[in-house]
Amino acid sequence: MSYVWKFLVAFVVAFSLAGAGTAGAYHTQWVAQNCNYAAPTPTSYITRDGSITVALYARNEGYQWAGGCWNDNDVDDSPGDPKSDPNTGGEGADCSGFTFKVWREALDESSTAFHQWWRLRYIHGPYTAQRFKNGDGAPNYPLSKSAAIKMDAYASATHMGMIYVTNPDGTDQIIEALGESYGTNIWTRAYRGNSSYSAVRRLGWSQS
Amino acid sequence: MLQSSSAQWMPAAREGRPVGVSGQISAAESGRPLPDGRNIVILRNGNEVRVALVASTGVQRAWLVTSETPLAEVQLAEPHGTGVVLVTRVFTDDRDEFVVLVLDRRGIVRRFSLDSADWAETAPLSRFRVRGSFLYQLGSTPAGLFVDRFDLEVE
Repeated sequence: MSYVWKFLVAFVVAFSLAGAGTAGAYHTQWVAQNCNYAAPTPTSYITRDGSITVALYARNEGYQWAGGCWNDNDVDDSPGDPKSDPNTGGEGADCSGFTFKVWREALDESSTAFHQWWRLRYIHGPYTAQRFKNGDGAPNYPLSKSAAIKMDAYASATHMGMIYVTNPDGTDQIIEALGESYGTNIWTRAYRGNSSYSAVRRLGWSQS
Repeated sequence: MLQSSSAQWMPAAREGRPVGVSGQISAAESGRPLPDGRNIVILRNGNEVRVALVASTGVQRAWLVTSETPLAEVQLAEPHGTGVVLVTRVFTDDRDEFVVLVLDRRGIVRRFSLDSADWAETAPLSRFRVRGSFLYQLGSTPAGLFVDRFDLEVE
């Protein structure tokens, strides 16, 4: 083989390896291939039981920091993304994006309207966990933790989750987007009594 | 509805062999089995906690604890002498602490409070253990982890 051919082969191999390395860092591209930017569907009301149904679609679908798009196949389609990187384009929401979507909130922080964001709509919303904790935005307000019921949320400066059901021992089962290593699911938590957490409620629930 | 293990006690193994999911669910109980064959049942509802020691013949002894301060989770309920030791968390919107109660036929015979010391997150009900007449607390602060021991003997 001539030197020219050897050089070309080596170049192609090196280029391929460099490409694989880049793809490995952002290997998922799941959002780019599966999600959309469709307008939300306005709804006239929201119920706690209905929002539980919406939240359960995200169960087992993974976690993505700053994300907000998932399907319903009960598999994290982009497992093992680099942690603490909001640009990996993986499946799932983060804790505040999950809450925003389940609570059918609007991008306009002054609006209390209900917006149904569909599962594959890529959206995080304007609120961090800290902002939910503060009760920022017209639809969100703090309340006494002892008054919190299903689908109200407990929020700290860095994390939040919604009450799925309260256990007999006083813990709560929380539905939450927990982290890249854990995904989105229901876990037993003691957020209620933990002084790092405050309770926050979405304005305007209908009965049940 | 899928209940977590803190709502239903399920056997993880029998005679040294793991129990499958369906076997665990079919054997789930609301009371926690004790080595002596009894169960201990707890129910936190609002500002009260109910605790019962239950044998095959029925309820042996039961307590109703009420609080003016809201109660969160029951961290521990464990037989102790002729009664139980109960650890629960009291909270307001910006403060919390654990309250340790030693209960027997006379009611509350010993009570003390502990800093919640939960700077680091752990499994939700992993902070207390009873061994002999001592209560052990796993706590954490920005300085690190610690285990403190408290004497439960009643004079």
